[in-house]
Amino acid sequence: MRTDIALNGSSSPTANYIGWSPRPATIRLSDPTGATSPVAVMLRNQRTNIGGQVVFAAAANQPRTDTLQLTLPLNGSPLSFVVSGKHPNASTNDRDAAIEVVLTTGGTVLSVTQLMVRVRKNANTLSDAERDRFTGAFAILNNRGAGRFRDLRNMHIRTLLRSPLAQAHGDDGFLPWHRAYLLDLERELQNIDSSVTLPYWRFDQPAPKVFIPEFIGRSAANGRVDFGTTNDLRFWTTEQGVGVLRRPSFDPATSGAGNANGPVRSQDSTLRDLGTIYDTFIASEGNPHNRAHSSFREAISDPATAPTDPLFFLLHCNVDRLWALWQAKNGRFNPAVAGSFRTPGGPPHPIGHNLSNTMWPWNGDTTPPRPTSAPGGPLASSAVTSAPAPSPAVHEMIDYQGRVNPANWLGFDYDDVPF
Amino acid sequence: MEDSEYERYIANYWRELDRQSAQEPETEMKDTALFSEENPRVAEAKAIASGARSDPEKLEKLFAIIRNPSEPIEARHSALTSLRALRFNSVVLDELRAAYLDALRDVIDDPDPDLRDEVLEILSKEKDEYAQRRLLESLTGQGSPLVPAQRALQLLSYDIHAEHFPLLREYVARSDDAETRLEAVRLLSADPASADLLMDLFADSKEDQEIRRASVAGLLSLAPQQYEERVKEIVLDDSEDETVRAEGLSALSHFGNPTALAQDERFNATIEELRTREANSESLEKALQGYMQMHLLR
Repeated sequence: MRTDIALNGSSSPTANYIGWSPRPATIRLSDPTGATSPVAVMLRNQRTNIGGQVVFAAAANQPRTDTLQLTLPLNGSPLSFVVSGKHPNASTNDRDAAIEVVLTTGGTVLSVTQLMVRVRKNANTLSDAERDRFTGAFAILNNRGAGRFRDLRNMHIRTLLRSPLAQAHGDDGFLPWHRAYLLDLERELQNIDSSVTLPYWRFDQPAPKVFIPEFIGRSAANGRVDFGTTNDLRFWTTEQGVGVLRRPSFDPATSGAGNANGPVRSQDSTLRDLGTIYDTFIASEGNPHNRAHSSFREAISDPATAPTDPLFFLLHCNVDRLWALWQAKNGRFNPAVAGSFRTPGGPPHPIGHNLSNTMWPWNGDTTPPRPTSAPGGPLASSAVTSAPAPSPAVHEMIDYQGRVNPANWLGFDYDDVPF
Repeated sequence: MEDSEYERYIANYWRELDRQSAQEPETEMKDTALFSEENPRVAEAKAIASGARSDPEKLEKLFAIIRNPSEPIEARHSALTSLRALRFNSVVLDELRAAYLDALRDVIDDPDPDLRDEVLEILSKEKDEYAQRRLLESLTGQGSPLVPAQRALQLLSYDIHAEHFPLLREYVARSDDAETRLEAVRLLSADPASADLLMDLFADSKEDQEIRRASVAGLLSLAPQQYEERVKEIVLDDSEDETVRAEGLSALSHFGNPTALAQDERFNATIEELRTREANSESLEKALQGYMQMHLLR
């Protein structure tokens, strides 16, 4: 007798990645040998003391529990259920979580389905293995500054005419655009190593395990970033040649970010002092976002050169995480409900900064006032979700956890933003 | 329906986050400001900057503070820092770009070296031709040194041009400052005509180790297939420095032709044999693992 489980609407193991968000799953009796009536089974974590952990529910609106009892029809038709990662027990290695199906009577194991509870984590808390997988995948994606990474970098440059930067900054589309940008990068990394997620640099706290040669590099007195002798990022190549220039105005091992004008806004202040509606929260673009960037000198301190420093993506991952935290705190997941985005009415806003607009460059739109070229093509696809559309609209970036509609899940979660 | 233990955990998690973020901080985060706020002019500069994002008049005031040598240096730095931050999201600053760069150019010869350095950096990232010309003049001795040579080369890297490469090769050949030579080597990774030079530097066992490491990275990012055989020789040479061998092997892993590498049985057999040695350095061990993972275990 045997059962099969399919996650995220697919029987392929490439879809066996979940976060905290409840995900659709099915189970069926694939081999009924020995059964003469519907089979009572229990779903549970195979190991509860190691690896990622999951919780189950019979349906999306049901409470989640450590085990789930189901009765499977003999004819092999699939039964739906819901599975999600059990906060805070994320995986640390690929497929270190497993759903075990046992007979309710007798406990015979009918199947084990390996999966990963894959979430974006604080860069300062990564294990050495997680860190090395990330830097290894990132170095491969960089590929001498060519290929897909060049597209990702070219999405964020300044030109004198119809600047790409206007598509992503200075207006309400700032947060959705960068969420899509990070997602595009992360999916490309996962095409290289499916266990990798984009970590975030928690810039309001010391990060002694991040700014080291083995990870995002330590700045020497001359501004050159030392990636050591074993970090694959030492081959990082851009238009500025091999290597990275970065000069922090603070000591990242002992302090949060800050510059001559003061420290970066703390997480608590970001959640407390920027209001409960998007119209006020968008001020986070100024501080902490701009302040974090300008806490350094060199490439990361200018929007046109910032993506040439790999730290850029960890910085922006934290900006996005703060938005995600704010969304959860204030219930701002439904773009159709006031407060989740700009209050309607008022003067018109530029294209790319309205809920219904698709976002450059993924939409390929080069009609003025959009930029004159659109590098990279559509947003990278994912094995675990079909959201967002390859040419995503601003509104698709808001319900990223699928709270309004599970089909909206974008395929990522943050370690400290549970569902 | 009754909540489960897990649902209660989640609800409690958010309650706790709300409670924590609602608290006024017991102590203000330690101010990492480099300069004291007691200087009233710094406080004024900050106040101007706080409302400057959509205000051209306030932006012009910040430009004026930067270019005015009689302003306290702390205020000038504060204004410059604010403008660097506003560059990310101020459409008006974008529209005033010409005036902004003018103000920065006025400071290139300022007596304060940090201010000079910072404006040159911004201008270099803006690909400003005047700043580039001044840097090149200082490197060739035709103008006064604005910043140390190694720093001038770093700034040129923001907009490297083909006409810079002969100067860089000169610095590699003649400079007696290791950091300046190293900077020049890094920048030559953008010059296809320097591939031979980079190969020679990597192959020279008497050359500085950092220069050799930078050379192989630049070389293989430029012309991997052409030099793979020579790099392999160095990787397999037991008399060579292990860090240099590791760097060569890692560069091959990342930049080498996967088909050619897979077909080189002699090289791969030697790599597998090296892997069995116990006395390998950490860097060589990691490089061997990386190469095997990328090319031999697929």
